[in-house]
Amino acid sequence: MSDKETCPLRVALLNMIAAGEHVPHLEVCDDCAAFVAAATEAVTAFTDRGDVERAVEARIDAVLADAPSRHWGSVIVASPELRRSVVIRDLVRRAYALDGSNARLALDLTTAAVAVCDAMVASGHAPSMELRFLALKEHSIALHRMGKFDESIVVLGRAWPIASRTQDSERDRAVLSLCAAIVYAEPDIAKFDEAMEFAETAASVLDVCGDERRAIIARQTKAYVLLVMNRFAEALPLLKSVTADLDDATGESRDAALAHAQLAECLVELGTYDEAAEHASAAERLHVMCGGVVDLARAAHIRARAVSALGQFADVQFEFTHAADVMFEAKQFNTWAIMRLEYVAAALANDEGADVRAELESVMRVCMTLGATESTQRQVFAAEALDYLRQLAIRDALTSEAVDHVRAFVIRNTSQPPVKFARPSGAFLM
Amino acid sequence: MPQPNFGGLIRQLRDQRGWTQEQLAREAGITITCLSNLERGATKEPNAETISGLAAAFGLQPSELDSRRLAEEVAELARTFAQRQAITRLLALPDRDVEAVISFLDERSSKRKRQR
Repeated sequence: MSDKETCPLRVALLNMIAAGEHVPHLEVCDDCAAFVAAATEAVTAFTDRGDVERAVEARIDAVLADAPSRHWGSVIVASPELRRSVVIRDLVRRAYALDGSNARLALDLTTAAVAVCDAMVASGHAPSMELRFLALKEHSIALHRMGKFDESIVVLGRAWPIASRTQDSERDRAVLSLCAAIVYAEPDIAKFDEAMEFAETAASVLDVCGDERRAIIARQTKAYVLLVMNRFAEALPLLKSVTADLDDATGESRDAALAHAQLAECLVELGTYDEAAEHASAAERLHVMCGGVVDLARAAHIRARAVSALGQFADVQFEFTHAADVMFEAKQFNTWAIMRLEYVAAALANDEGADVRAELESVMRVCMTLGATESTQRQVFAAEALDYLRQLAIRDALTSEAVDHVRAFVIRNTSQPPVKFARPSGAFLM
Repeated sequence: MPQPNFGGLIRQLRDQRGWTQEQLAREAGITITCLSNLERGATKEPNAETISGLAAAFGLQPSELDSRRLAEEVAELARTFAQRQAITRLLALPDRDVEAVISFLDERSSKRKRQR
């Protein structure tokens, strides 16, 4: 027999049992008696929440052992005892712990978490709004990391009404706004105005909510969008405050290192080379501590640009070459091509007669190869831009202005939807 | 703690294999003096590294030479078994009940921390 009207609350019931109280209700309520029997066994076997979570993890591992990760969602949903909130939390935690190191696996984990949420909702035992929000938010982030931007936005759309019903609804919606800002700032989406609006909203709400770390990331996202839009003067004060805040809040972190590098890049574009070199050096020092080889190479390259603009090109030739080599090794060919063009521009600014044809030929070759294998519009347009430079070099008509024009095009072509290359107005016609 | 006749056990296992003290000490990565002290009972409580080295030399698990480790392993096995059964029964409960048990464990942990 069970009488829901008079059943004590579950936690209160367990507290009574733990206190050694006699609970007559258990003699007349089978439901509560069954709960107490299973719960007593659990609170005897497990010391704390961590113990339970480890046991759940082992159970999930056993069920998933022979299933490919892309099927994990359906395998878990097919096991009724795993359609539980504790399972969703475990899947989300695993995805979060990967921290971008295995985007594919993280996506399979969040896909499974959302599948369990959906199955529980369908069966009338919906998990808490907070947990549903968490699963969808992490799923959106995982989709973003896999480059599935449209799907990521769709999931954010699903999460929005749920975030409106959580206990900390205002903060949760601000977190979604931040996620949306990051996705909208992606080159393939390039909705920069929307991205800025979302980032601004997120920053102001998260500040009020006391979520300092995310508030800084929101401001950093806005600064990134301004950089991509070449609005360097507007980005500068924002990047300065973000860098100072991250130094204070996180100390020697990768976030702080990236902020210093972005600030240095902005300063280079604005022609403040001394300060740019200082911030690039700070970024390098922090990246050495954090161990990011590719990030370190990017920072070193920015410092090389700043130092070379100060007239010391010869001092940083090694940095230019080494940074590009690291990008090539990391298969970041777009960045590699931009770095080599920046090297060519620096070489020509240092010596108008510099022979940079070999450099241009190698950039051209790599871009053509990429075009052949990936055949994306971006690579085709980049190849056209580089061909223009190559033709100039063959005719000894190469100038640092022409290289800068192509470099600006390649950066734009990498960070925004692809556009056809146009020669500078009044350019030498071939 | 290893059983009282730990040295005798080592000696017996060595004799069965027809090894000299020098051979066993080399295999186990310990000194002859250390081994001799153990076999004579001059050393009563060998450290975990020595036990592991000797066990590896004989092709055994350390717990087979060390009763304390064996007891720990048995206790751990029993605990794991109890937890496996408990989690099976716990997950058979409806979601809200599972969450209630976890909340209770949280409350209990907080109380213990406060008491400390």
